[in-house]
Amino acid sequence: MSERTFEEKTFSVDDWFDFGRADQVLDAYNKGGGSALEADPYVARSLIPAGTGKARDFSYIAPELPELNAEACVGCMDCVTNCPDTAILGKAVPRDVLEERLQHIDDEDHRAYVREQFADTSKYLTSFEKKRAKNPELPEGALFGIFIDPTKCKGCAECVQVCGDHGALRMIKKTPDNLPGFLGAFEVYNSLPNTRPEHRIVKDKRDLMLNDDNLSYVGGAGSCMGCGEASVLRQVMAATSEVYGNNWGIVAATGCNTVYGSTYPYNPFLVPWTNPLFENAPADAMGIRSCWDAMGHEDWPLWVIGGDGAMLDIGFQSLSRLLTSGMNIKVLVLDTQVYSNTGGQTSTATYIGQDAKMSYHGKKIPGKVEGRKELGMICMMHPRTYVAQTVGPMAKHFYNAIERANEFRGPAVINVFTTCQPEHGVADDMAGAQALLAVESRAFPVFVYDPDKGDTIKQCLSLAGNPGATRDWNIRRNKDGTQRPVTFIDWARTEGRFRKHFDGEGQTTTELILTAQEERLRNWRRLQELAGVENVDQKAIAENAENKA
Amino acid sequence: MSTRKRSLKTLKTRPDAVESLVCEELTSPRALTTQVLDHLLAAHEVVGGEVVDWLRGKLAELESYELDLLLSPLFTPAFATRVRYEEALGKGCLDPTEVDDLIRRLETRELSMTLLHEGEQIEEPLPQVVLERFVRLAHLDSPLPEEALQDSGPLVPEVRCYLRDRAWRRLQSRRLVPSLLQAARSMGDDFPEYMHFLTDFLRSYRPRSREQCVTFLDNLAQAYKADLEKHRSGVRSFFNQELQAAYAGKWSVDGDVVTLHERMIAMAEALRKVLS
Repeated sequence: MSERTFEEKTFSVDDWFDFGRADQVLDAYNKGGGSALEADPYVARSLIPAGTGKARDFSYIAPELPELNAEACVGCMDCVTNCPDTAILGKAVPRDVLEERLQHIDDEDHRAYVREQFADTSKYLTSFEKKRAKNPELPEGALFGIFIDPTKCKGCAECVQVCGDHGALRMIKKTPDNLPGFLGAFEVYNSLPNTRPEHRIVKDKRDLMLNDDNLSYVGGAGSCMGCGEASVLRQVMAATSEVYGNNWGIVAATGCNTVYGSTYPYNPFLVPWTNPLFENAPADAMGIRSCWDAMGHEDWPLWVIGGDGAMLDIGFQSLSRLLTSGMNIKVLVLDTQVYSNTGGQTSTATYIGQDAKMSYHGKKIPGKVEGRKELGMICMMHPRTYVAQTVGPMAKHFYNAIERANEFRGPAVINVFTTCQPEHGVADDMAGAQALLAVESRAFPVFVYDPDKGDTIKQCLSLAGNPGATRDWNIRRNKDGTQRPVTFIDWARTEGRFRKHFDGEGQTTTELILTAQEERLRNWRRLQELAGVENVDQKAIAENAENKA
Repeated sequence: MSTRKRSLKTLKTRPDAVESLVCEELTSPRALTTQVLDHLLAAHEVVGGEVVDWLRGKLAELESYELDLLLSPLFTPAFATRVRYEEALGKGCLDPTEVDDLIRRLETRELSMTLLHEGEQIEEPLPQVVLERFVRLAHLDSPLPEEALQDSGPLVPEVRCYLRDRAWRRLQSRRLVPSLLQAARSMGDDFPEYMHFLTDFLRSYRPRSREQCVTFLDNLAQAYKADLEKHRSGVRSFFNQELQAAYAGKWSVDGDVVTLHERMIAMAEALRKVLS
């Protein structure tokens, strides 16, 4: 091999990419003339320049856009956190900075419109002002604005769903008459300075995305509306960029995330990213880790990302090898319980009774009959491996897991339940809600296994975050005082992939769904046992049996 | 402010009655919603059976903004709540200073909130930040546009409540008030529903003239029609609960059952016709 030298350069997105060339490529693709294109220097090197997804325009997709009613906004940042497309963003701006910027808007009505996008919240304004009244040396408060990028928004309405009873967001019909307002306001957002560090509430992890530098997933990816995976990816990237800037990398196993995340010429990532084969992402990462370490970059986190197929099935051996190596590599498993990318085939993470390709619900076999492989528990049994099973909407649990994984000097696995709307049969705005219900119903219990916490599994494993952790099922009490358990079947009833197990009234019609529920309960009890959590329901049954005897 | 407006205001608005209604609403028991429980889980890692004890023991330790984030979904005044205040507001409104006074008076009363969860009743002091946000969002100091007051027809409480939306007070909107009010009124019993439609229309599309109203209403109707056609063709380009309701939800109008989208098209076209 000839000797090569590398020139260090700082690139902006504009430097990295020839947008004229992008137009040429897209135009050719749209007209079916791709084969006539000249050879591309980036394609020739298998490169897609970083962050080019920012230039992608999806404004032809969404029939509706979210509209902000700023007076009702409290600055919770749930909408920003849960958006899969980096299409809704927040900014805290001191009043004088905003007023100065507004003066540059000539059109009086548009100026008023932009001003209306800012809220006087207790979080960013009045709580600061009250503290400052007592101590003038403390920072001034800021107005809080929410802005929609209509070129990124696909209209899933997840933001409206999580805003809920705050009533600060609603979907409105997009027409040629309101689109310019959205675009103009987003231009103003882009021209405003980054939110100051003092206005990011450290203990509220959702504020990680208030820092522009943490938006290292820029959007423009071809993921489905409301994709649960993409929201989780954004969260991981924000938490990692918060500490390491762009000095970290991703090895993404082939799957949905690589298809929507690397559709030439659009790349939503601002950090180094590579796509190996389906089955060998962990092995690839081990090579990169060795190389980085040799170059003196031992502190740069390296994340391997993959779905069910890459991590549980065909790439399982590679993952196991990585974990056994003790190398400082982090693994993010986007657990959709199905091969989402290739059209919804069964994986070993698929639930019993789930209607998936290769386990079709038919007359003889009503869906998948094998039990679900519990990757989290298997990973725990590897030498000194940090493992967390979590969901994105549990912001504190999720971000704590990511932060700890990054700090942990060794292998770490974060297994995340992510909704796949087309394969799960749920609405585009329900990724967060379904993930939370999956936790509550024991379909997907959350846990953290930190091997540095002690010598026994019980000392290392925590089930904190699971509702009713000492019970078989979490018990909800109704208004009239009666109780009802929240079971796996309650969750399954809300997802299309299980619909053939229920009649029109929601009553179960098959034995297999009951088997699925029993299997989930066994899994939960196993976790309780490992964590040393006494199950009060089982204890009561045992005591009753003892008394009768 | 004109003498006529001032006299109307002093004659009609009853601040004591407003205070009584607000107080009643703030202290009425309310059940914890899924959104609040999800927030407890996401932000404070409080789960299941721990919720009641946590609320009894930890609320006092939270910063005001944390209380705001947690409790605001329960204390955001609904439209129906604001309509009730119209009886006390009449065609007038409170001055901003009167709203400040109202907040101060309510604070001195040291109100309690009652939260219901799983058959338990949790009584805690009503946080100041919650009280302030609720009162601000009640729009008690939002005047009706003067142009609406000059309208000779009756303004029922529901219509007045819509007219307090700031969308009607924008300079460009105020010029449109007489014609839009007249157009909505011409829809007979559907007057309040058309006012709802127009309030949203003004807020989202910001027309500056009657001509723009006509064009924008037409564009809106076309956008709904395009979606309906796409939906009927079987193309599943998007699917969220709100849109599903819009397609599948049934709306009964004069005995005919239509979907929400069809209703929106009909309203946009009816208004366009009147305004053309």
